[in-house]
Amino acid sequence: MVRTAIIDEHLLSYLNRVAQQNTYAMGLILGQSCTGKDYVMHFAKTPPFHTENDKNLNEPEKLKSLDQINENWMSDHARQTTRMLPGGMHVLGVFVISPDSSLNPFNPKVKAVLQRIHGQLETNTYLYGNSSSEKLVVHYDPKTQKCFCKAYDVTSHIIQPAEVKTVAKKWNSVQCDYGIDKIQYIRKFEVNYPLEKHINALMNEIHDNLAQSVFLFNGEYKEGDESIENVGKNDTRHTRSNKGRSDNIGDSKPVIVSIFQSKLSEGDDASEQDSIIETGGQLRLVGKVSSKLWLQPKLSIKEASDFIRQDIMRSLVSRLEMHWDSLTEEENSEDINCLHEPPRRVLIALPNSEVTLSDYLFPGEGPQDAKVSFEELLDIKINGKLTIQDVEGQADISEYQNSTSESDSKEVLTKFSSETNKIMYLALVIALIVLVLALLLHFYQ
Amino acid sequence: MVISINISETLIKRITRTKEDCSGKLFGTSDTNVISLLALQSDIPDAESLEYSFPTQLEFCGVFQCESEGIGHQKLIDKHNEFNEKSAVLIYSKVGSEDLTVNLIENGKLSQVKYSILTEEEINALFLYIRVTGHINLQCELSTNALNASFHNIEKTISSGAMVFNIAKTNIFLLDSESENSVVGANADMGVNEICDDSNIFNEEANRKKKIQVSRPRIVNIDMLRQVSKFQKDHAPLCILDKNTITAVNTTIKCDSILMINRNTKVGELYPKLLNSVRRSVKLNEAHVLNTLSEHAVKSVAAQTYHFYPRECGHFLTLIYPRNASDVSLKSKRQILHKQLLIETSAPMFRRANQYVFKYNSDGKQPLINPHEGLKSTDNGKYEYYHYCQNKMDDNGWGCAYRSLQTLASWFKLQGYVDREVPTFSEIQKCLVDIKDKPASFAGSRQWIGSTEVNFVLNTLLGVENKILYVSSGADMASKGPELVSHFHNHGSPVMIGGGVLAHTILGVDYNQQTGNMRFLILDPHYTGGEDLHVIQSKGWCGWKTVDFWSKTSYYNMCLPQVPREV
Repeated sequence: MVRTAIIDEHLLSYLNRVAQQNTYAMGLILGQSCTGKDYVMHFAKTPPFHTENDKNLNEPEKLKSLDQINENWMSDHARQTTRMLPGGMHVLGVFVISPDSSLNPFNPKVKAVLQRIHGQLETNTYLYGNSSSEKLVVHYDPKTQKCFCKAYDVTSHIIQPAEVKTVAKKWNSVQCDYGIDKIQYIRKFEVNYPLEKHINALMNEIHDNLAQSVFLFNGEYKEGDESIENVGKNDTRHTRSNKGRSDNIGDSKPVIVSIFQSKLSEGDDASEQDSIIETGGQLRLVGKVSSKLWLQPKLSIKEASDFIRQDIMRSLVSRLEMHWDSLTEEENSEDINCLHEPPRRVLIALPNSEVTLSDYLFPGEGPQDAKVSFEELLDIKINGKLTIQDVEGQADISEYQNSTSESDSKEVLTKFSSETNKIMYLALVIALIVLVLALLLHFYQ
Repeated sequence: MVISINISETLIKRITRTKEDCSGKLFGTSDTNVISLLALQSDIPDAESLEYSFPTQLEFCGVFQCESEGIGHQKLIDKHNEFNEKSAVLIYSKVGSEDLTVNLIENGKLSQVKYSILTEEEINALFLYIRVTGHINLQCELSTNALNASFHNIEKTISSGAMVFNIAKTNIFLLDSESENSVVGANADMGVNEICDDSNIFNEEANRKKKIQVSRPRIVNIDMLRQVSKFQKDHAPLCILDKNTITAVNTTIKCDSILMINRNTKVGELYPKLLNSVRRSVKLNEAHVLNTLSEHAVKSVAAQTYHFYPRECGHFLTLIYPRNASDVSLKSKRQILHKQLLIETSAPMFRRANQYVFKYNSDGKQPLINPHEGLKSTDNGKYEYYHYCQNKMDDNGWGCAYRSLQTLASWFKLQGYVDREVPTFSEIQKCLVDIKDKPASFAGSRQWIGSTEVNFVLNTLLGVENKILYVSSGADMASKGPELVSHFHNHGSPVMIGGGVLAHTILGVDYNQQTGNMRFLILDPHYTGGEDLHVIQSKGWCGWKTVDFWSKTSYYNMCLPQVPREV
């Protein structure tokens, strides 16, 4: 079957705008695959790569050919953008703007970029970055103002023709919270492992728990092959206690998902052998992950459930990755009690769309910080103040500081969040200013 | 309003049979105007209460007293007053007499009442059992304070509405009444009974061509799940690292409890009852964990829940045994249990092997258990039916005595007398070679064995003593009537009989002392078909035979396994 890229009208005007400003450009295709079709939700031109030479220029140099594209830069863009996508949405491929066709013959640079992106997204399993190894390439021809499409498989290297359709499409939204309160005992011999390793064990556990969980959609159990658009349609069959709620379910109302955790994952039986352990400490992960997914109405309940699982995992590992990146070496393998506060998820609606994407805010950060990353990573111009939905909320840390100090420890709980880093950045900025001043002075003498 | 009282047959039997003075509590269900007394617990000093071991919904309903010297009811009334219940049943019995006096005390007024007797069949027709299973994490410091706090938190979680129940093999979910939709996938007004019919809980019965009417408790499995999408902590995830070294309990409580409900209970009424059942299971586990804590140098708190259905009680009893404790080490605990329940101490009832076998997992490949059920006979305990051609082995023509031996061994295993799997053919042959009864070439051969060899193997591998009976002709089998009757009465173990080239298993006998007529309940190991009860019974592979069954021209040896008297 030929793959079809479904592109909304207003997204074409975006490509046209990019083509007017750039002779050559490449960016990411963001969207969802459903029943052999690729529903494009957004195009995001990869921000220009800052080379050594660019530093002296105000405007980074425009691309003069596709060969100038930096694969690592693009794959990093794909990784950072994937973190912002709700479960079920992926970097489906890339779009290319160039005066000559990049599809006939298939441009080797495009192949290289796609392979690098695929490899990058594969590194963290729980990011669920790749929906398939077959990637979409959309070529926009500025002369004819038309899109041409092909599919390229990064593992088999097979190039397949693909169609483009311009259709306006609807998204159904699905919403849920996932509460976590897990304690991981650290065995004596594991005490010196980095925190990341302990957390990864918890991630595996959460993944297994999710795999064993049952999902209800708007309070109804649905068979896996039913489509998501049917949720709430035949409510009357079983539920009399529903009190006519069914007619309220309009298209815009999100479907609320309840998650029931059932059996424990395997291996729990083994741990029972040593029900009492001498620990070298403990790690607790507590809080909720709020999810809001945007799904094509034809998606099956099974796919939707998988996407919800993926969303929760993706959101967790994204914020943790961001948190680790913000920590210094000593902080990561600190030998004292501490409280880590990874950035929290906030939802931001795309302009001209109801679809929301995520951003992660460190304590102390606000809409302004989200706006910067949104504008840079998604190539969107936002006028005025950005509205964010603070769906998870910041924790009152004192609650946990007290609870830990209740146990025998007299040690002071140190808090690691971006604040320490802020000070570091501030110091850097001051140092830079001093440097610039010194240079200015030097040149004007 | 007149309150009618039902008392289970087994309960009356146990009270009237007792030879010593005793007193205790009565447990049962009470509806608006019916009290059904189903369980009792005799007072034994320092014994643990069985309250949480009885099926959920059985509550304290009164007291009983058995005395040899009739002191009267005052003592009973005093005893009842300790419990401060509004109304209760008082049962009084004189030791050695068959009579019971049943009184109802209501708001301090005592009145004698009539009662009706409930047989096991009637109880099974009135009630339905629900087995609730689920997991709850228990993670905390190993200290009484921390454990108490943890169990307190577990109780809070149970009460918080976070628990969800799923009727096994269905898409029916039960949520707490606060939920918008507390019964998912079914009508809340439907009877639990109807839903169970829909869900084919007893599909293995349905596979049988003939419905065999055996009074079995009817059991529905329900899994407990936990709602994780409603969460008390309203904030983004935090990681808290605490590097204090502690000794920690890190286990999961495997809730496994039995709930007894009236058959016409509505699905919508189940949720609070299920929660109570989970609570009982947690209570049992809590008691176990806190008990182990008092031990010196605790190494493990791991426990396993067992459900027993002692015939003498006619109800389920749920017990928790430490995972690392052997059956031998739990002997004194079992002795107390037998006394608490007023049941005989001559046969084990609460060894692990005695646990109730829920047929939920049967796959049709295992040997059938008790294929004689439905035929008129006395109950001598469970055994497995071993016969030709099982586990893809072609022993047709030579393996009958081996199979009979296996059936005997399964009986000892299932009664809890031995803690060993049923020996395989090669184990049997190796044993006979080892004890020098047979040459080394015997191992792996297709040579048949007789009752002498069965005796040797049972003795060597299972430590079972056997009595050998001999008749010179099949026609004389009836002469062994009294001895066989006495064997099944006192021991109850199946008997292996060998004669000519054939071996059979005798499960029971029916002997008329006046006429000398005798019938034998035979289990025939020569059956070569699949595990199909209908065929086995209708074609007589298991059934009653007259003396003519035995060949007049053959002599017979019988191997009667002797059973130790212990719990």
